[in-house]
Amino acid sequence: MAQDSRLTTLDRMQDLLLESPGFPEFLLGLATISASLLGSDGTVTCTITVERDGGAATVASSTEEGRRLDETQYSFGDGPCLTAARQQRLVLIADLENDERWSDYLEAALQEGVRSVLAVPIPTDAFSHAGLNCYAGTVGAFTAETVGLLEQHAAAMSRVLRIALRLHGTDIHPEHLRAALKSRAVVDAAVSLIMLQQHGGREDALQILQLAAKSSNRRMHDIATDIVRGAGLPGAEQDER
Amino acid sequence: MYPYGADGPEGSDFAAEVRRGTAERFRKTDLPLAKLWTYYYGLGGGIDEMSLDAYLHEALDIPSGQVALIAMAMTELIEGETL
Repeated sequence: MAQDSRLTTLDRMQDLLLESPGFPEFLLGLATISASLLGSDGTVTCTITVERDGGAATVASSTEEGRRLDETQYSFGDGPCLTAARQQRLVLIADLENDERWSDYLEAALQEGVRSVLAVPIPTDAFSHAGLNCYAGTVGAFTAETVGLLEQHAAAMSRVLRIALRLHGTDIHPEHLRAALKSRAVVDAAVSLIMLQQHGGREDALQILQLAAKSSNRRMHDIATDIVRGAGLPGAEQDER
Repeated sequence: MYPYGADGPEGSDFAAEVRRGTAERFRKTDLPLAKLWTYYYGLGGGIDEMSLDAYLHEALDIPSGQVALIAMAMTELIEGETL
């Protein structure tokens, strides 16, 4: 029964909220649940786009193909799904070959084998916007009935997504995490080299890096990179005292 | 040579002043704590996020070397955003 299956979906979304370690995992689960609503044969790919203030965007896709499609859209800076999310209005493209909006993007999507697209806005809060995007390989895959179902689903997702956004409000973008890991590795390597060369402690080595960064007006990470690549230790100049 | 987290009778006044200055700067920048900690970690930082939070709320003293790294992380993050 329709009522029952909707309840189940809501339950699944709430479980997902409780069990996801981070926002990207949560969003991925949401995309997968959405795709399963449209049939389990995998003919429809669902992705969810969330853009937050400051431009940090998260994209989750039920398939690898969907992720590529969304990334393509980002590289063009525009497309049906970004329009749905940013302007909070529904976009339905029954046949990609007969549509003239976003022509560059649609061309790329056609090459991925997509023939019809449905993008439904998901209401969130004042600091972010989100949308559910569905891609199908057949013309006119999204009937009025499907559109209605997905609009209902988007409304149900809205509440869970708003909670998730609050819960994971300070989550760091994966890019920043990767940058920090990379930077840390280089700094640690440079610190080791300085310690070895000066028979000094870790704190002193870090201080040498900081002084060098300040006096040359460069980033600490760049100074460390130079040292790891074999540049002379900045400490050598300071030994004049 | 200073011991780790040096603060003699004179040093503690200075440390308190630096702490207040850093805390104030943090409040003005509107940086998320997690973002600052992650960047500070990237520079070789050694204290946990909760202690950083306490320090920035003037509730905890930390070694002066770490203070310098936190200040540097803030500066680089702010400069990075205006680039």
